[in-house]
Amino acid sequence: MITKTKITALAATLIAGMMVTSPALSQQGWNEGGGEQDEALHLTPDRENGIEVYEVCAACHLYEGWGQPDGTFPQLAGQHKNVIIKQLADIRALNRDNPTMYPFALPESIGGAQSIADVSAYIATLPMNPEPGVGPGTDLALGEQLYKDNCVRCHGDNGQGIPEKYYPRIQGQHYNYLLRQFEWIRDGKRRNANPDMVKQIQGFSDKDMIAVMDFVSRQKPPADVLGTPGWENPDFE
Amino acid sequence: MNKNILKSVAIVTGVLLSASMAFSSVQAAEKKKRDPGKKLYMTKTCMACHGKNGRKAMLEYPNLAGQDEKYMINQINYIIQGKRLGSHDATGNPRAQGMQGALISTSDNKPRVSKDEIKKISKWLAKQKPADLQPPKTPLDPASVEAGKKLFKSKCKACHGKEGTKPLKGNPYVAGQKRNYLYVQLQDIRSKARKTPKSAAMYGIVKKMTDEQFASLADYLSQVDRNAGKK
Repeated sequence: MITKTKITALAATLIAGMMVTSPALSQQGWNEGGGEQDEALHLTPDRENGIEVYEVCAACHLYEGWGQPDGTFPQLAGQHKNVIIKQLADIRALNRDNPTMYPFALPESIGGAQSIADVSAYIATLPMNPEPGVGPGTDLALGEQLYKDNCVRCHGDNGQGIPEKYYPRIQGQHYNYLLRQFEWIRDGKRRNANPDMVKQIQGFSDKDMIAVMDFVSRQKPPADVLGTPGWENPDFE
Repeated sequence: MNKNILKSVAIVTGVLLSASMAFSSVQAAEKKKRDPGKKLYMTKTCMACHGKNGRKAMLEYPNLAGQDEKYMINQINYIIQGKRLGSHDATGNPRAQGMQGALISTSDNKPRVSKDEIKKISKWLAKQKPADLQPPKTPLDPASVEAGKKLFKSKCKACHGKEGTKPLKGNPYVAGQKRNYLYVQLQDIRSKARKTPKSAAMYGIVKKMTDEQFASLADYLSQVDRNAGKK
């Protein structure tokens, strides 16, 4: 009995070890880090400058960081600082295609690594939209099952993500934005996607995709990061 | 005696204070009634690139304050419809695609701004005082500016008006526009990367012109002050 448990544990350790090493290899190009990303990660953020830089972002993402329910501009509020730093650095380094946002990510527009650190830390403190855009609500049981089987390991049991690994918070994000990014990742259009995720979701049909993203958009962020309906950001009065 | 003076000073001050407060609250009420075009300009993401009141555009984007109304309506519609593209920018996409991305909803591919809203935005922008002249980032060659001036008179004046300040309706003001914006647009119209019903008419004029001539035109026009004599 004991032996059996030990063997199982050993096997689990081995598998876990393999899982840790192989993604590290395949993730090259997904998250090489270095440069500004590393620099920004280690700088101490300045809130006041973060607010000043964020004014540029607010033109599309709104002062509250709540984005648009039609998914054109995602909600940024409450996103992990590391995730924002990585995505901003990626867009600026042309690792993630985004012609609309690109000019705003440039050093001429927002400043250097310190500004990335400042604005990312500021965004992370914004309370989240309690009423994000959600999907049709027709296949939530399927969505929940798919989520449990495919997404929990990286995005957490409730879509909260893992900051240290740059896995984003996806709970309470606008459904239309989630759907578009999922599709782009599945179909290879989002270049800075994690290859493990690309592999993981290859078998998803459009119906699966709609179901799982609908489910995710309806997951509630924890109370301490959630805003109240109609909240207006007092930093921009 | 002293008490009386103090009393009257206090009364006068009180009257003045309340008068000025009443005045500023009237001002505040007026301020709150924003032109609907301005409000749309600010909320439909235009301001992000074209700057406060259309006068402080970022990077090499054009300033739009005081631009021709009809011209702007046409261009916004062309960009939304994908009819105005432009050469590739640093992202490898047609220049106007970034703007298209901001104006089209990704969920249903429909414009996020209606025809009526486009009209309101353009009408408001057209009424704004043009941007003040920016001194060139690097000193311009006077010979190039002079050549540009001559070239403009012979090739461009018919549509864009004297010194680029009096275009025919539906054509853009080109005076005082950013130098690099003008230069790139001239190239894009020649290469047909920018090809719209309007630019087709201009193509015939620019097709045989050189980059050097474009540079001269852009140098010259970027330094024509549309606000000269109006201050």
